[in-house]
Amino acid sequence: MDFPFLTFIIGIPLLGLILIILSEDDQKDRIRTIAGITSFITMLFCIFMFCLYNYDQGGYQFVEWISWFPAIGVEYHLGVDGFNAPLVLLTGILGFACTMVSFNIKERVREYFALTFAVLAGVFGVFASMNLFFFIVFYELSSIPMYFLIGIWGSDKMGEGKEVNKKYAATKLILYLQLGGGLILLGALGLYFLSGANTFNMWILQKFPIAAKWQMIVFPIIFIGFAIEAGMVPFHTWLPDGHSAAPTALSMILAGVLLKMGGYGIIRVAVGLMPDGADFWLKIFAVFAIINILYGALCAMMQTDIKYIIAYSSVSHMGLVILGIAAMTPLALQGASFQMFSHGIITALLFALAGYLYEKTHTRALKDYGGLGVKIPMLAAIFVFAGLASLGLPGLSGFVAELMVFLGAYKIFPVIVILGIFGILLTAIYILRAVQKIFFGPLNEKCFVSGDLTGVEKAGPVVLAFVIALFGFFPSILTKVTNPAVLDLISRFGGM
Amino acid sequence: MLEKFIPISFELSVSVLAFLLLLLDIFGVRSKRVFAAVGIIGLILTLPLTNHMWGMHATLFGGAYVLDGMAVFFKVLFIFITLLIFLFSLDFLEKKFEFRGEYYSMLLFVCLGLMLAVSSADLLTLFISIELISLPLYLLAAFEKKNKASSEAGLKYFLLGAFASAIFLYGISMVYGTVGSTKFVDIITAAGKMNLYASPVMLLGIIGLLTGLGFKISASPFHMWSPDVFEGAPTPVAAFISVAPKAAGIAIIIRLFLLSMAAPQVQPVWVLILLLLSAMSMTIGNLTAIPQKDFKRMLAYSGIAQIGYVLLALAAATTLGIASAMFYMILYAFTNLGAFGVLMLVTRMNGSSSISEFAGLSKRAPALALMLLLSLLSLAGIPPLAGFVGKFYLFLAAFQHGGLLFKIMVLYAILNSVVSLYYYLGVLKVAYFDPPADEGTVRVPTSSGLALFLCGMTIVVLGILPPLSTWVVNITQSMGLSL
Repeated sequence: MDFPFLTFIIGIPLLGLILIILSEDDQKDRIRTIAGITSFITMLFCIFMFCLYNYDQGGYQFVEWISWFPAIGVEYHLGVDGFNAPLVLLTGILGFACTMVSFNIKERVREYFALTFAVLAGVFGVFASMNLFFFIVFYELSSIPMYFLIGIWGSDKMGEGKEVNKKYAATKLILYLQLGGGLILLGALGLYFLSGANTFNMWILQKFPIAAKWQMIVFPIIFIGFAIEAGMVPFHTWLPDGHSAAPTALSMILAGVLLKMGGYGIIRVAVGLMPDGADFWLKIFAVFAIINILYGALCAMMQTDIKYIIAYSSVSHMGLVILGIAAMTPLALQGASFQMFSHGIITALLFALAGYLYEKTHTRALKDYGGLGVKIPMLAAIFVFAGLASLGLPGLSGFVAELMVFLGAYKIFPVIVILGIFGILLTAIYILRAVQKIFFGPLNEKCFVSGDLTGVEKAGPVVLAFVIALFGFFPSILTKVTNPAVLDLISRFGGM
Repeated sequence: MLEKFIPISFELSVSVLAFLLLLLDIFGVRSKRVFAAVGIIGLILTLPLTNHMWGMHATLFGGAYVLDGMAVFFKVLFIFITLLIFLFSLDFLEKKFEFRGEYYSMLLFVCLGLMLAVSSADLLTLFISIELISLPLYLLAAFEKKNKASSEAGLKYFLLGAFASAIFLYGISMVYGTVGSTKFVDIITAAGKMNLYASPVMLLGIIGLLTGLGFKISASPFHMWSPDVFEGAPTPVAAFISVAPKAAGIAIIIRLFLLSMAAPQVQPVWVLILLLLSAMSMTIGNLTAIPQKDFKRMLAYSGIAQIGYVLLALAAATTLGIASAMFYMILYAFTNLGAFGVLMLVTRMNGSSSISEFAGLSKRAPALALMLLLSLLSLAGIPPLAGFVGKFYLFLAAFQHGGLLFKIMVLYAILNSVVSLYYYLGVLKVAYFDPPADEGTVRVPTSSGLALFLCGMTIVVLGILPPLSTWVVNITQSMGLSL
């Protein structure tokens, strides 16, 4: 048997979690060291796994398959293909960046890192699981700690408009995520019985899809379950509140990987297991996708809290993912996959910088900023870089993804794509507006700044910025890996 | 000679133990610890009896009493529940009220009644065992004599309980009138030949029986007593009422309806009633739990909702349904006792059971806060805890049933469980986010600590080791009862 990479990737954060819990609460440096080393090793494992993935061969690799509870078809079954390999890599990179960003946490350090690692292990599990039962178990494992992370270490809304309390945001987030999880569970039960295979194994369910008339019913249930996670309008309202109230590292995980769990779930479970249902419903959901893109962008333009701007930009960008999936052409699907990876890194970087900005200035309201570029040049530079990546500057990863989605979807939904390009325009407006208000213009004397990024604070942002540039210039690193999986899915899809 | 007694050896030893404790009281033993120790050691000593009963299928007293896998299963569960209640009571009684020796022996009499109830195969034996469960419980609920709320709880429980018993007895008379016998074996044969349109009396009988049982398991709309009784009764007693009679009620429903009235002539009737009870319990339990300020009342309503989920699986009337319900009753017992245990320790000093008492618990007593977290999340059905596996089986069982109605009900149950998360998290929010009102740490005495540790371990182990649930499924299948 091969080296069990995936078990290690899930297991190392759990090991770190145990080591952290065993430490004393006041040994803050020890806890930080454990967290840093653990997340770094995990990242290395993810990078190895991604590099060792044989894209010529394609298909599922690094498969681990242990029978767990045969009576109801539950197996510990892991594996990666072109869809989840990049996402595991993404989680690994973000896990490391998040840990670095979290070194500034001063209160209840032990619990903080323990919960963060529980989230990470859960996310890895979701991406690697090939069995719906474990998929759901890991999903819940990753979502529950978020409630405590937001409730204890989070922050209230700043800037104008409706007040949002962190406890409110935490409750809202968890209820929405659980609702999504519940719908997925229901759908999983549907697949389990209606397929007649009595199994939660996705490989078998893929071979024996349920009857077309049932797909019409089960598909929207599962799709909406995942769409809640992916922040699809009108189920997105938890997203801005939750992302903004969360502590920096969790904002990064939420925007970076949790939303992707939704997108990935749609591809893997909803579309992958129910092609007939997808054939009918995806055209309808494409309309939601364009609403996502435009509505998210318009909302982002109106926000006065920097984290809310980034959060709404996520809503807008996840619309692109859904559009790419809905179009179901090889290029568009590749684009959706690429967009998930790229958006994960870019938004995480933006949230990390917003977090630092808050630490340095103790405010998140746009009106309190002004001309900070002079005082914190390093932070400003990386922020502008991330902003440009987000609005799709050629040469950076965001551009590649958008281009692929639009080109791929144009044949199928010409009108929607043309409208979507307006969304890109709006993105440029709100990103540039934010950058201009914060870093340029006359210096706001009232705004106290405690200093630029120092030492370890640079680690997270620099790693992420490097990844953005790397995949912008060499998108083929990623597309080579996703290609076989995309073609496989399209070939099973037939109809289009 | 002795072999004859093996099937009823649990009942015999528990009654001996109960009388022994009464004797100790008469002979002037005044130390609380002695009573509890004798009770605990006695109960632990009964456990090896399981060895002799495993795989046994015996019928005694002319068919009025059966011993099969399910009966042994529930009897062992009741011994564990009683043990935990003993452990909790030890510390609680010390602070709360002057000691009276009959407390422990009454708990044992309840345990005896529970054991008889799950083995009853005759309506009259069943009725007597239910009364044996109820009467000591009425007294226990009112045990805190100087506390008005406790007396009120006892009286309310007694009056409504007596009413329910009367309806149950009336139901028995209807069934007897139709079948001509009170034995379950005769009901099985008669149910196969029945025509409900021609003899609606049986229908009334079924409704009467389910009303009585619905009261015991506090299924809505027969739940009115439970929040008030929980609030007023001493906390260990409330904890006992919240799990033991419910488990017995579920066992009785399985034996009386799923096994004895499985004939297609009568099945649709009680399935429909169970579904109705299930839907109402889920809705009313969950929605009413949200605004509760008192933790015991909240747990009462949450318990009503939990029973709703179990009834949904039972309504599916399949082996998996029975297995999942049995499995759920174990984890429900340990989980609920865990939650009550934390409450007992936190509010031991002032006797209040308001949710605000938990403020800052994560700082005052991290271990207790963790226990609260485990039990409430398990009740909400969050993996990797037992509650998730349990609910998963329940929903699996209900979904497996062919009807579209069941699939819709599963959707409804899942939505309900999202709602339930809201109020469970509300308590955890207070425990983890709010600043402590009282800085003092909470002392955890050994016995309660041990009990809580047992509960916590069970919640985690049942959750992460699915083979254990396979074991429960196997018991059900090996019961040798045809469906």
